[in-house]
Amino acid sequence: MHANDLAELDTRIRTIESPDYHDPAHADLPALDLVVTAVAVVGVSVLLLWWGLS
Amino acid sequence: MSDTPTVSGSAGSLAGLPLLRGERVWGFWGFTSVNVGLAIATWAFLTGGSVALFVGAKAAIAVTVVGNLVGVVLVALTTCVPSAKYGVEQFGALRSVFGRNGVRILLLLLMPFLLATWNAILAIMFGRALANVSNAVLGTDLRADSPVVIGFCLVALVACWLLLLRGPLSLSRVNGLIAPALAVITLVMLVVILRERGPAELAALAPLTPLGDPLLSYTAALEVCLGAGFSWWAITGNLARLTTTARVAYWPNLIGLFGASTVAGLVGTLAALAFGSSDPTTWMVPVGGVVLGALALLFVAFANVTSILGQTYSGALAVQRLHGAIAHLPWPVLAALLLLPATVMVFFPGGVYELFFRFLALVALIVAPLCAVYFADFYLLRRRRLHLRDLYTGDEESRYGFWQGINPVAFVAVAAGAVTYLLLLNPVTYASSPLFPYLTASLPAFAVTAAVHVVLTKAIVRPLNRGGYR
Repeated sequence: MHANDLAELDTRIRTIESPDYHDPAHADLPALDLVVTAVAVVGVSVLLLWWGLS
Repeated sequence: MSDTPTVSGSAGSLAGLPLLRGERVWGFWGFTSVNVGLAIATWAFLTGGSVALFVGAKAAIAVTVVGNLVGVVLVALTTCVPSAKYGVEQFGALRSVFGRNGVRILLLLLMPFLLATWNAILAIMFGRALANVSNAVLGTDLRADSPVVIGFCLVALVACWLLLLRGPLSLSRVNGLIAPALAVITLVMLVVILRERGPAELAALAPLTPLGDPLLSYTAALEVCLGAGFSWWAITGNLARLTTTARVAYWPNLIGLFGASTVAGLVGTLAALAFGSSDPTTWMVPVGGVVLGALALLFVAFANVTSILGQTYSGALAVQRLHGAIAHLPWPVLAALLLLPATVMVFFPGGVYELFFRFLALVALIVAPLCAVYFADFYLLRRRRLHLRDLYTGDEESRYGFWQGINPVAFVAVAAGAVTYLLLLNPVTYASSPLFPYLTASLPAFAVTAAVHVVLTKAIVRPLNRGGYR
């Protein structure tokens, strides 16, 4: 990386790591979303594959 | 991200840096429209056509939904969530899995194959779509591999290059116009097919070239759809880093990449069954008539441009990691270089096009293990936590330094997954083991890769205090 880019990178990381900085994107995907996904994928897959073969 | 390239804010120079809150430009519907635009390219119709080779309509509905759902969910969880959380490119975050030099090896092996082939397929379909529009509206008699078609392909690639010069916001704007129109046209095509043939007649249509054993054909069709789902792996993470929250990064994939791909794929399957051709550019005019068919072909052609645009932008972010000199190439030069291999391939439109479903199997052979190793690393070993600074510091200081910037365990895990796949299915000949009809090939490859990575990391990498695993 060039010096300018390194300086920009350092500035950004310091900004992001600062206690005052808040970015909603940094929150994890809620566990509820993961559970809903897992249940839906397994349920839909089993039912549809069984139906498609019948 | 800046719309107009500047020294400090071009699409190229911001590429390697973690994004700040104000630079995340895609909300829920913005990212959804990008995903829909990516999904309703002709590749979805062609995937549907490939499914029709193996199974009839009812089985096609089941395998299309399940294959796309499983593939897209695994890809979105694996690539979109970490890239959005940390605002980093997918291949930047992958340093935590493979090491910095490991990612470079991966890129060298992967990107030329994926980017060139996908872009060539899309450009060829663009060319064939325009040729069919010309044949239907102007009464010309352009063949599928005529020089005019090759010329149309080249036009598509040049148009993509020009749009790429304007950065990711141009992608969002173009998709904002094309994606809704494509969604409507796809649904209209579905209604037309259902009205003309009726559900009962469609359900009775036989697959085009089944494999003999019905269960084997069923699983081969499922494998095609899993391959289509996994094929988003190289694209989505770099786009998702521009989203505003984890939910915005995740759920639009299920509306766009899964939902839209599934509907478009099923339209492709039903039309292929009804008209006996897996090439979507040949049945749109017979299905919709001259006006609707030509309109559909035009929109699909332009959607292909947005798809080439999206994946080339994403690929550009990735290859900038290879070397500092590449990162500092002028953005127009880098974009042109990435489109160059596809530009060569479109001079052989027939060969590229007819290999499509084998290409999907090859994608799954490579990408299912890559997806698995990232999934296992991020969710099972690191508990969804990366250290941003260590993704950028030198190998001597970074917890992701591994051994000379390479994590051999991740490569061993990927190799184990690929071998598992090959033992179950030959992606070129489609010769399969007796277990394949019951297991598929890409799902066991995913499971074996994840298991090998977790076990070897806990047994070797963590005790040696490498990789920052705790």
